[in-house]
Amino acid sequence: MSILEARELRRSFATTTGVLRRRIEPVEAVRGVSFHIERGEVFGLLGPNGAGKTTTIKMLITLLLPTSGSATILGHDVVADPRAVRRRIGYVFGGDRGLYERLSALDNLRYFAELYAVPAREQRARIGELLELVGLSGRERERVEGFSRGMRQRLHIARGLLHDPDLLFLDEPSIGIDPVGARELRQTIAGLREQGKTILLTTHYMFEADELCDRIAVIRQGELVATGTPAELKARVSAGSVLEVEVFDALGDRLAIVEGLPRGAVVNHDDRGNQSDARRLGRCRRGCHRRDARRAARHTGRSGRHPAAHPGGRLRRAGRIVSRVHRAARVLVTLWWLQLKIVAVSAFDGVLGVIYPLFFATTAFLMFGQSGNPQALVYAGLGAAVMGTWSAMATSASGALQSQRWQGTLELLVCAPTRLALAVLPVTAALATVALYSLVATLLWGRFVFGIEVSIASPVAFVVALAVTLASLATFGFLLSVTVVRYRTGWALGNLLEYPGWLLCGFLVPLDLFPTWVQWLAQALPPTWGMAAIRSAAAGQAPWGEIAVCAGFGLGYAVLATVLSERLVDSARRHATLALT
Amino acid sequence: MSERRATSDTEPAVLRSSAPTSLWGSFRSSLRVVFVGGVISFRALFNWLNPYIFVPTMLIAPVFQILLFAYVGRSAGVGNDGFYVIGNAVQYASIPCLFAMANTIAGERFTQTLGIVLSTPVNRVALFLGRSLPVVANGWFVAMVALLVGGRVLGVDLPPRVWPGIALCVVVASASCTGLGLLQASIALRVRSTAVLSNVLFGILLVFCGANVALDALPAWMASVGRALPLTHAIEAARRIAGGAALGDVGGLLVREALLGVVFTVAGLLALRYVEAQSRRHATLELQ
Repeated sequence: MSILEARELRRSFATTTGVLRRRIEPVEAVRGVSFHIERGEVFGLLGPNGAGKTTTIKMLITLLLPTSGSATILGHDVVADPRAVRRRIGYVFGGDRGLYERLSALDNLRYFAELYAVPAREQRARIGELLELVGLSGRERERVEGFSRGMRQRLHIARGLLHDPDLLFLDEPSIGIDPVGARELRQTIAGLREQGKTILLTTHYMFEADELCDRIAVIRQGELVATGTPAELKARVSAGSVLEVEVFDALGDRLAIVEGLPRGAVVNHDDRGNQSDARRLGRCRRGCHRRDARRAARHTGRSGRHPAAHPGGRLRRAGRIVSRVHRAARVLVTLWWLQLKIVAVSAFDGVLGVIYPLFFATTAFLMFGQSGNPQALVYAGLGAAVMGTWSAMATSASGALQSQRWQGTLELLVCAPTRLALAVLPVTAALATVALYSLVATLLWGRFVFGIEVSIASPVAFVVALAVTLASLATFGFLLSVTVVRYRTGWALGNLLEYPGWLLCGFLVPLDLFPTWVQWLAQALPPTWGMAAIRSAAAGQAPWGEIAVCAGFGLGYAVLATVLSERLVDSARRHATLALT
Repeated sequence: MSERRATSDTEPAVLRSSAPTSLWGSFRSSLRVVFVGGVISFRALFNWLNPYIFVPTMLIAPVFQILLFAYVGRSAGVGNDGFYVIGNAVQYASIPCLFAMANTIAGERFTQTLGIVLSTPVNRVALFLGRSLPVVANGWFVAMVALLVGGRVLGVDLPPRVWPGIALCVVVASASCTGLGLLQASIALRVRSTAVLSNVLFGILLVFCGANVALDALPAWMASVGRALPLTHAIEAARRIAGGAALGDVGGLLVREALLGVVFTVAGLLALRYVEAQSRRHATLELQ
């Protein structure tokens, strides 16, 4: 009996395009794949990226249901009997992820040993032997986050072998590993083959499949286009052969030898370009000032003369300033719009993000409602509406930048020749838009559910006060969020300040209820002045003094954040904290 | 090819399978998944919760929540400080309980270990119950610290004899809220926005479970909803104990709270089973 039999496996996905007018389009990733694997065989699934290799594997390891077709592993159906299948298979995939970064290698293995029910008395010996097998002995107590890709990959293999599976799935295990690491990995896999393990290996490297596999199936656009032993497949291709030669330090006569290979061989040597990139990066890492790096990046590709040396210099300089302002505005607007799309990409996120402050508003309305004083309810109605903007701006901004860190895009932001401030401010501006929705939602909620009628005596002053309050909050959020650039725990600062901000800024509690020193502290926060201005405008009093102080604080925070962001970036570069998640 | 295949006699010991096959063996391995696996997975998924994050978000924030609502109460002229200290301290246990349970799925998704964990044959009940035990302990700790510090800051005097009873109420509250978290974790298998969902559930508990507005003062329908949610009965029990009631007097409330926890836990486990199957159908396991 074959250890694995796949019959006409198919899998289609629905992909979504568009934000407001979403279109769903079906994509067929696997189109009727059939093959079998015998015990002790190393079977290769060879194909380019997007050919359907991983989708096929995921159906076989029970993580995806086939749209049609069937597959059995040791007689157990992957759809009907997933637990029996899972007991008998091991799964290893390529790439950096798939391990608990902050646990040691030993703890990663211990955890999966428990999940695969490896008896406690055997765990220590088995883990020790597997660490020996994959060449990680002596490193097992180190955290995985410090491991190289090659080490991670070997740890993946040890994890996949913990329970001695009948069939091991290796999904592109050598992807992204350097040649030496990949060779060691291939040796490990070859060792498993010698021990008689049955393996399904996917790869897009022909030489890897040729070296390791007994049989190979070539997959393209979800269909198997050829199956056979490596020798059979090679025999079918008679038109020519592809010889890929990787040469390091290929200089002088050695390069000539490579170029002198038989006719038909194509030799690409891009050594020079790569070295120049490396030189540029290397110099940057040695600590050149970021401004210089940014200037260098901005000037890359330019061949024009310095503007001051040009006869029409003044006019050109003015044009350049206009161009810079235009570019900055375009960056701001584009990033603001993209950030809004990120929020709106899930209607779930967007809607729930707006209604979150309503829970606090509702609690406040219920509490003030108990007092039986209609004026107190109006006070709460206006305060609760503005209160919601504090959490959206001050706390969510740092969360938004933290998610850049998690997604690994923070380094890209810092590398870009644009000032970091230009990249971060639109994030808070997008959140200001969400905050505005939240404010309106709270006012409507108060009006229609609790009957709170907030009248605005001076609408113009009210709008100005609101705009200045939101802008100053955006700068405060900007100040909090730049700490995330340097410290991966920086987002907690936003969380820490959420309740104090609600408590101290006069949203629901008049400042005179606090001790004097607390009142002084509260007056250093822009929304305290913004809230006072909004209440004055609503009552028909002139709010311009409060608005000016609020704007002044906002401006001060913006300048502070801009200066701080540059320093924090330098510090992050020095301490290598940009890539930490 | 066949000559290089080793027979089972020559296989090294490391590659011989020894998974338990008896019922007792399975039970023992499930117990190990609950206790040993639970602790390791908590360390794996919450190692980022270092003191720089834990102290502000878990120890300082609840104190400010207590202060906020105590001062709102003073501003509105309703309630007393003790009422808000107990209500908000116990209610804040929902932060670790809801967020941590959702993170048992979202965190795995982020590290891309979710597929690997779900491709193991481990008993899902043992897996998720194991993950919930450290969460209950954490929820209890957070609420008790908030109670202690919040009470001190506002000058609310809780005599030593009431603390054991209140501590028991908080244990039951944390456990039942973790049940709700488990139900939410099942949704996390299907959707990405787990943090938003946790925030919303936190908000619902804030409004409905009587933390800041007594159930008697809520509209009838809201009070009914509150009685079907975790925390409500435990908060009421803790307030009565603080007011001088004996543990026996609040036994009924605690039993109701515990039953709610069991109902939510069972519902969560069933939902997890269902949604896991659905995720295989809709390919949503590895959405980031």
